[in-house]
Amino acid sequence: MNLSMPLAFFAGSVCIAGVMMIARRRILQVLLLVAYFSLLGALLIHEFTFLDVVEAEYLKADPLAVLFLGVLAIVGSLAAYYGMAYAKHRGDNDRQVATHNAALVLFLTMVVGVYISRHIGLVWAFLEASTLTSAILIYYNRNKHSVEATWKYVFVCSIGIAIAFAGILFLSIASEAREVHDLSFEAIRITAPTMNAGWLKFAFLFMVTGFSVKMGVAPLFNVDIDAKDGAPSHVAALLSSVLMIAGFVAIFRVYMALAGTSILPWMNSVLIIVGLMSVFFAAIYISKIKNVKRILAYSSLEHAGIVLIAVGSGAWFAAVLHVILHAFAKSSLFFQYAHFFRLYQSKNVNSVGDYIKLHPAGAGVLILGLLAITAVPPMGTFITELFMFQALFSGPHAWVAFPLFLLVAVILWGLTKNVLSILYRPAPSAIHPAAPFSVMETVPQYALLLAVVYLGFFAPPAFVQFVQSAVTFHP
Amino acid sequence: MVTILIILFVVTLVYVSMVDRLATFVTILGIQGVLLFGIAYMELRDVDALNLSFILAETLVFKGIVIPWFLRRTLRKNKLVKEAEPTVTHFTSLLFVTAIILVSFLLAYTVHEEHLRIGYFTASLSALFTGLFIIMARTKIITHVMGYLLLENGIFLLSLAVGNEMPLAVNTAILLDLLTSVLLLAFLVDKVGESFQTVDASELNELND
Repeated sequence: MNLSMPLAFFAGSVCIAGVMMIARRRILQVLLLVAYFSLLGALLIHEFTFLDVVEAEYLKADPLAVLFLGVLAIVGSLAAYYGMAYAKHRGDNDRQVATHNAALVLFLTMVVGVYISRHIGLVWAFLEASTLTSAILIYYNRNKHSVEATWKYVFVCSIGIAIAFAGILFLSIASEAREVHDLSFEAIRITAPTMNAGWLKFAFLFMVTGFSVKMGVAPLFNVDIDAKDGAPSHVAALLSSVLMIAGFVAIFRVYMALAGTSILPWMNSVLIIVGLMSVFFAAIYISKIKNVKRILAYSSLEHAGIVLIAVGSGAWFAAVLHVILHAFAKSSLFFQYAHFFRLYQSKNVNSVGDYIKLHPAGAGVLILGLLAITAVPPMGTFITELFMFQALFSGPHAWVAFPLFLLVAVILWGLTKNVLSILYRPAPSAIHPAAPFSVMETVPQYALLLAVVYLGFFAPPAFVQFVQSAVTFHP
Repeated sequence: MVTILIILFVVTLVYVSMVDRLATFVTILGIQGVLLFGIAYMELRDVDALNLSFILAETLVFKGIVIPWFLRRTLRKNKLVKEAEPTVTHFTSLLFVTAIILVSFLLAYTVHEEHLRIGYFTASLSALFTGLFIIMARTKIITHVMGYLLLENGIFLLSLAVGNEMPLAVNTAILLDLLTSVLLLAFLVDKVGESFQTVDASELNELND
């Protein structure tokens, strides 16, 4: 078997994106998207077969990467499908659609790069490239909102990623002092215990700050909220799922590389503080605001925070599973949001209502989605949050569980209040009673939510084992 | 000789804090590109030719020529001449930047790391923080882009100070990213100007809770 499959994937993706810009007819676009996702599927199968094999010197797919590649293939292909539906419904011109699809392909490819890189510099480069390509996706509508969102997002991401680069340089100061010139995660893991702890702390702090903007956690989360608000909903779904995972991968890999050193307890404290801050901000805003899209975005902030708290409290398994389940749940909700907006032409909770009568299938997604993002059984997020609280209680940061519990309760209240209002409040009279939605359009959304139940409560042992192996050290 | 170039680089930072005309700011960024070229050339003469030519292209061609040219175009297109109402006066800015340089110097002296050269470290930290300061103190988003470039220059110097060579593949990716991000930011400044009829960061408040 040819071992440069990832390189073939990168080259193929760039070619497909290039052809997309020229062959703008809708049917060709669909064919090209199918070609791209077939290529992605081939890469996934290849990486699953050649687990932990170093390819092209700097690439290696460990179980963590393969898991996330799977999520990316599922959510990415659905986002492409809903993107085409969105364009068709709005009657966007071929050029706009072609640019969007090409950017989508490149964006997903760059995120794949983040997942499978084994060199910290390359992770950085792919993350920055994902910012640049996502800018085109966020810019899609070309109106004031999208321009503002794109500008803020690109600018703050660039600053953030520059700060992260300074972190990488601090790390290399520490490794140079030990005569180590290799910044691959494996090499760092081996030599880190002998490095100067002060530099490592600096490095970790800078990298977490910088990558926080990609994962969408405190301190640099504001632009993520704006980006999700200004972007089309299927793009917001991608930002909340595959891109959040990309940020998580960057932070988690650095964390794991340094986990063998004396600064582990300190790193845990940093992650728990960052996570708690994120949940705090999410709680404040969710209980206050009325913009449905931003509420969903703030809920992503909450879950990203929970994931970091899980990492910091040692529940690595729960962290990885939670970030996956959240990706499914939140993208399902963002896909549903497209229907919501098409029906009401408004984002404001106060000017909508009666969703359960106007679009029953969509209302079902909303209810199940609410259960998923508030971690209510039978949703798998319940299990992962339970594991997280368990680990928190048995660790040195048990006190965090109390404010966290309170904040999660506030979020539960805020989300439920708003969703109930959308479902049952009398609708303004201007809304057409018969909504032109086919039930088929909601099937993928239900499938994603079913996956959240399945992977949490009925996960096959092989899957559990695979996730387990993703969070253990690899030689 | 390298020391002189580094000192000149720090002087440009002080100068940046006082400039009013945006075109002058762009010129300074160009000069910094050339200075970085000189520093990198003297520092890295013994690395392999491919890596060297690469770094030289990054500094001289991109930082020295392409980016300033592109920024000038953006200034012309949006009819931007001056930073209209600096929220912080020139004198205060000068004080701030001087303080930044002093603190960086002290910081560089307090870390004892034999692999780290104090001159580089001071200059790079100064540029980093001056960039952040400019972004916070000025109102026009084009000035924010320039602040970002200052920050980038600081990080470039830091990478020289560290002396760890990234592999060429990684370097290529990083350079490409940086170039594209600056071009994209300048393009977005145009778009913001078209949509909002202003390039004041404070006017960008369409998205709120």
